[in-house]
Parts: sequence; structure tokens; C-alpha cells
Amino acid sequence: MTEPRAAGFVRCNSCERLWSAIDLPPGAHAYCRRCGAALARRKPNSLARAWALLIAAAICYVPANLFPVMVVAGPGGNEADTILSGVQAMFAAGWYVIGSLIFFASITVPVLKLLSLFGLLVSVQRGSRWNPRDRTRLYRIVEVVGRWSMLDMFVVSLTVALVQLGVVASVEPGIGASFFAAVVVLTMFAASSFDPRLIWDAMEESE
Amino acid sequence: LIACEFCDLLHRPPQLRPGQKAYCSRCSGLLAKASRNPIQGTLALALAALMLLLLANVFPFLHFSLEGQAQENRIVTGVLGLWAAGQGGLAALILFTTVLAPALRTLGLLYVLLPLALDRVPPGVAGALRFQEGLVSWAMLDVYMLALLVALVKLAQMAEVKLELGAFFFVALFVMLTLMGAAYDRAALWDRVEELR
Repeated sequence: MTEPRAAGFVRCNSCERLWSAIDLPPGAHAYCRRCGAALARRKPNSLARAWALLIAAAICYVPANLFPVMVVAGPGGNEADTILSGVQAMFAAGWYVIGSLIFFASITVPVLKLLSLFGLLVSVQRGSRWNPRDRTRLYRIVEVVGRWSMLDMFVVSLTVALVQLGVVASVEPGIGASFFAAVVVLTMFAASSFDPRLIWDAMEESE
Repeated sequence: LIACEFCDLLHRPPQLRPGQKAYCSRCSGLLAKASRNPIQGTLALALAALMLLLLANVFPFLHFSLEGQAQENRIVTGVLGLWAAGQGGLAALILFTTVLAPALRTLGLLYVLLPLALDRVPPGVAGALRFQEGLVSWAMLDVYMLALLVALVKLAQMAEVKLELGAFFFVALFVMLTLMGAAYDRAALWDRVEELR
């Protein structure tokens, strides 16, 4: 059974213990008596942090797609693949299943993640009351699915090992790979800075 | 009372039978779960995972060969390759997500679970629990497993590729870590800590 949310409680973000809220003088902190973590009603500076990390990720996303993630020097000269051209090459070679996997992990997931976080942040900042249940669900999906973008980076790390074999002259990870990894890491931090409870605060303020 | 992690709605703690989960009535997020055997069960899985972590990293999992040349692959092979190519940051990220994060998470859990199973509270429980929980989303062995499959198909074009014993340990490790994550029950561990203090 549920009761309407009382403003008089603080949930410890670290151990889940619920404490009744107390008034603190400005600048003072309360700590959880069970686990010692600093108590906060919402994740501190949630929106500012999430925005900063999201903008940084969006900036890195541009070079991540423009520069090659892998440069293969073979008998036929240098072959540089960006994320998109790598996927195209796989489809051209008829590897539809693997091509789709990489397309999903390297293109669909990061794009949807950037857009979803952007949408969530804008909606919270505007105090939107639209469909909070689905927005919260979207947030949970972003949190769970985001890490799968690392797939292509792991494939690169497995391919690089081919060099020692002398099959190809060199397999070099391109700078695109570093930027792409930065996008994954920054969006993961952005998602964890965002506090989904802010979505519901707008609902209660207007009740 | 407990509050939903995602929307802060207050609920009376649900009475769950072992293995059941409760979801928030307002936002449908996971509210509480009752692990079947939160201490001994998770401990057993963590011990198994620790052994498999060693085996999966020691034994090579991929074997490349071409025209009489051959090469064995472990996770570190790719990490060192990236390092040698001047991509230190990427090398470090891959080492962290595939080796360090799963290993440190398992060790952090063992540090808490082993004493709890012996009815003792280890010093710094709170820190250890926070530490291992922070690593959960960074442990990406599941993603690495899929990358292994992709590489298997992709690289078969350039050389002869075979799976080796290490791949078996990898699959076992992946299963064990997944079960360990599912058995982990933060609320139950904290309840036990409070009982013992």
C-alpha cells in the first residue's frame, strides 16, 4: 500500500534508510547514522552536473564519428574506417547480423542516449507534467543500455592483436575511438548525475 | 517506511517471499527484492566468480593462426596492443571495464560477505558496500562477451580463429557474475549489519 509522499523524509542514497527530515542551518550537512553517507533530498547539483557532462559528450560525439576508429594498413594501402563506414562495410560484405549489432551499439544507443538525456533535462527544467511514468522508464532504460556502446571499442581491442601476427602491416586505433570512448564514459556519468525524482517534483508542486 | 529510489513515493515495506520482487505503484521502478539467500548464497557465487576471474585472465581464449604463425589472446593482449599504439587512455578504460571493475567489485563484496557469514561486521562496511556498488555499471564483461563473438566472425576473414579453454572460463565467469549481481540484496545486508551491531 502506498501513501502520498510526505515531504518530511530523506532517503539515504547510499543505504536506502529513510530518516525524518530536520531543518539545517545553511552550510550544514546531515549524515546517515547507519552508513555515514551525506544525506541529500536530491542528488546535489543534479541538473548542472548532468548538463555539463551531456554537453561535453555531445561535443565529443562529433569527432567520434568524423575520425576513423581503426586504421588498417594492409597490402592494398591504408584503410581507415569510421564507425559509420565500418557498419556499411559489414552490410556490404553481407554480415547483416553483426552489422546490425554494431549499428545498434555504436549508433542507435549513443544517439538515443544523448537525445533522451537532453529531453529529460529540458522537461525537468521546464517543470513539465507530461507522462512522468514513461519519462522515468526512459531514464532507467538509458541507465541500463548505455554501457553496450562499448561493444565496438572491445572489438577494436581484439582486432589490434592481429598486428603481432603479421597478417596486416598494422592495425592502429584511430582518434575516433578515443572520442567515442569519451562519449560513452561522459554519458554514463551524466545519467548517474541525473536525479529521476526531479521528474516527480513538478507533479507534486502543482497539486 | 521505504521510499522509491526513482520517484520518492513512500511505501510500507512489502512482505516478500524469497525470490519475489516489488515494484513502485507509481513509476514501476524496482522497489524491493527478497534474495533467497542474501549472505551465504551471494558469498558462494562471489567465491566462484573470484576463481573464474583468475582462470579467465590467465588462460588464452582466442587462437589466431596464419601461414604457420600463431598467436594466443587474452584480455591483456588487446590492452597492451592499444598501449603500444599510443592509445593509453583507451587501453586503461578497457582494462578497467573488463578486468579491474569486475575483480574489485567481487573483492569488495567478499570483504563484506565473508565476515557477515561468520556473524561479524567488518570495519568500514558502509565504504566497502558503496565502493562495490559504484563499480556495477562499469563492469562490462557481458559487453565484452558479445564483442568476442563479433571478433570471432570478423577476424575469421583474415586469419584462422579458434576458441580456446579460456573462452569456456569466460562464459562461466559471465554467468557467475550475473547470478552474483542478481543475488546481491543491499537491504538484506544492511538489515544483517544492524542486527549484529
